[in-house]
Amino acid sequence: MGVLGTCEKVLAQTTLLGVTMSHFKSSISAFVSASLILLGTPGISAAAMIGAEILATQSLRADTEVRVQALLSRDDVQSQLIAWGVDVEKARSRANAMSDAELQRVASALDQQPAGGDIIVLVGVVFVVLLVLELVGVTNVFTKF
Amino acid sequence: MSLASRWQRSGHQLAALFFLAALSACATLPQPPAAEAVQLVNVPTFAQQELQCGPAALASVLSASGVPTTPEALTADLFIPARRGSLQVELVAQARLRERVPLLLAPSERALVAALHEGQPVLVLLNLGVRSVPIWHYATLIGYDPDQGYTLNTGQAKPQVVARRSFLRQWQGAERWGLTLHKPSEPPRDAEPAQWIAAAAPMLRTHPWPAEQAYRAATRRWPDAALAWAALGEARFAAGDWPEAVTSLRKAAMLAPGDAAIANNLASVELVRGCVNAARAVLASIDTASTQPAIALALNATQMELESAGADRCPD
Repeated sequence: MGVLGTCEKVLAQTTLLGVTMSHFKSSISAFVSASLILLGTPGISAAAMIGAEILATQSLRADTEVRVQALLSRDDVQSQLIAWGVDVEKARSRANAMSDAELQRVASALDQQPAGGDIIVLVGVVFVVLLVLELVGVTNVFTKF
Repeated sequence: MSLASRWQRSGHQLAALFFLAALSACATLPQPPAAEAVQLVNVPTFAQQELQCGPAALASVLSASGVPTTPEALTADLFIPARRGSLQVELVAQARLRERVPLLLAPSERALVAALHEGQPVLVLLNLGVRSVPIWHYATLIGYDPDQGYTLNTGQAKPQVVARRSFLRQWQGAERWGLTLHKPSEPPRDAEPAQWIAAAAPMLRTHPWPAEQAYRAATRRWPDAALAWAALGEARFAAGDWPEAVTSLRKAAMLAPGDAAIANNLASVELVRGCVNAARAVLASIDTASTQPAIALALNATQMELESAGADRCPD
């Protein structure tokens, strides 16, 4: 494909993690402080509004949380979790506490499956459960043994 | 030994194996998207080998989206950090500076082909090497053929046709990164409100008019999306148009009755207008206890404003 010298040198400095554009800000609190629009008009008090960027990223985060919880609520998924001795409630509360980065990885992994189908029918319960457990970091949380 | 404890021992490796195996779908290629061949014709190609680090590909998609430019013009602006950040972030930022909304493509082949069928070229990142020795390359995707493969502007004099298997492997090696650029007034057919607003919102500070156009287009495309109306309300407030700001935020609050963030913004605007009673009513209608800490911050500030506000002098 020809000489790509400049490209290689520059991109050699970046890590692959930097490639994916984050849907979520890593620290919502700090970001809100930076995004609050404080507007003052002479004679009228300032207003502290929450920027649309925050509203949108929170909405995106909420969507992914819903998807993960929906997966963990399925009978077939829960049967598999129980068969492996995983505490379902612990898995769900761990999923609730996922960081933005973890949520982004889950969303990306779920999105990479062919669209338009039930993900579990397409790739199987085992894969989905392993995926969620792996990404949520629950793989070593077992009730038995 | 039970299944559970066997699983506990090798579970982590097993999980990783399954995960990687399933995601490196190119071992056995899935069916190609059932779509007709498509080739975009209005996408300029720049024979720029040295500048393939973004500028040429970005110039290509910008020009196709109605912002005529050249790799040279972009190189002057494109800050390339040595270690911090990434070029992908820079490409996105540069697109916004030129008043185009950058949308990250869903990481699926179906999304690629759908974008092409919508007339949108896709700026893709490819790994022409291997995971351990990557060779990065930006390219502009302009065509798809179920038999021939993918057509790309890659900095050669003419577009290149790449076999489907090769292209997918190269794209997978870059974690399936792809970007499409859009005029603020034209959200694409398969966009979602939150994704569109999140992509346009950073423009508000530097380019408020296109940002507002994007929000307004969102309210037309998704009239039931509270987020779109909330965003428009914020933009109109920043522009000093309180009547429309209030109308938009009231609509947002009506569409999302329990939303603390929207209530906060509506109450803020009502306070600025002098409508103390209305602001009080708005804040009273939400459950302040169960909000995110970050939202609670803003709510506290608004609550304090309310308490120190004088009498109601609402123009309504």
